[in-house]
Amino acid sequence: MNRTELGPRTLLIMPAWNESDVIAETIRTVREELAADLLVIDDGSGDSTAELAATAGAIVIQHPYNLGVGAAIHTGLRFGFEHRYDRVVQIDADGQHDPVYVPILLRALDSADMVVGTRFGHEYKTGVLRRIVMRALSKRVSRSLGIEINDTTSGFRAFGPAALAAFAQSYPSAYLCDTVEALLMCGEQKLRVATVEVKMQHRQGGIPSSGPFKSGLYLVRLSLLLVVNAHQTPRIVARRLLPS
Amino acid sequence: MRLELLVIVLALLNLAAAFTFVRQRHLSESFAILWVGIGLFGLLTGLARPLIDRFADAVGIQYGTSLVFAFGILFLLGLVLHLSVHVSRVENQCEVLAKEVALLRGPISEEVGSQEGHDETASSEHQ
Repeated sequence: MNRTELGPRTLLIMPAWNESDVIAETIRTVREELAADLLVIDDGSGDSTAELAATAGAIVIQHPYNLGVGAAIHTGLRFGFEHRYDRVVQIDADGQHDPVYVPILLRALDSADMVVGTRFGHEYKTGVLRRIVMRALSKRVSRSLGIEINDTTSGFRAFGPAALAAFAQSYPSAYLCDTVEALLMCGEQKLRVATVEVKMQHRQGGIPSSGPFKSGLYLVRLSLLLVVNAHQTPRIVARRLLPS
Repeated sequence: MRLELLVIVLALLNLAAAFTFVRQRHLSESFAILWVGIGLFGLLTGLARPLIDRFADAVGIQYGTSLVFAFGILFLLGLVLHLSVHVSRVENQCEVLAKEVALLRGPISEEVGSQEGHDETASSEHQ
């Protein structure tokens, strides 16, 4: 087994909500490929996700109730920051992110504060309306960051020290929009963003988070985000951050 | 005359409810002030009908009751908006607290930090 050593200062975070079908397998795959601390944030699952993750060898933090993906990521980033990791990589619990790409994302962190693993090509079928909003989003985000970015919703990302410090303070937790909003925050806070093209695996199980109603809601929220984002005051944040 | 009486009774009931809820701690003081205000206004509309008619006349509304209705609806809209804002804030605070609790309760793990071969540094910080 040829595991890539990521070093003690790197933390993998995996937000998980009711992923008991796949979580053990995903963790096994990740640990086969990479040697690094792995934190699973169980976002108030009703099933045995937390137990399975702990048995599979992950560190597990449990939310007392479901708070949403953005909140789970925030908890993971805060854990990373408070335990003084330098770099945090976010991976999906359903196995769609191939851990092989993690070292590549980390390498790209040398010249960026945040790296996004973007979907390679466009093998991704979506509705017309959604495509329009996505394009508008990607234009808006690209303008604010000064780089071309076609996949603004990818959750396969690596955070360097500066991004970690910034996002541990405050991370957007709006339903399904956290990835986009986080990119816009990078623009505001002058964090450098880079992209790496990755090939996504097919989901191994779990429920894809999009019914027609949810996608509709998603579109409305995203549109609102485009309009409102520039004028928002910062949200309430937890003040106590670094233990002395 | 019977309408005025009804309004007065409702306003008094409103005031009584506000006082009772504060006493039983179902209602925080800041909201109680609001409800007492509403009750007092209701009392005013019942007691001083001529005053309201005159005011309606001054702003160009012929029927005093319509003024009260219009005012009531606007006021309720404002109140609901205020409550939505309040709930959003409470929601946000809850979320901050939940994350805080999750982090304070700390990690559960079969083998915290003893991930084969490397890093005792991180594990010592997990404590």
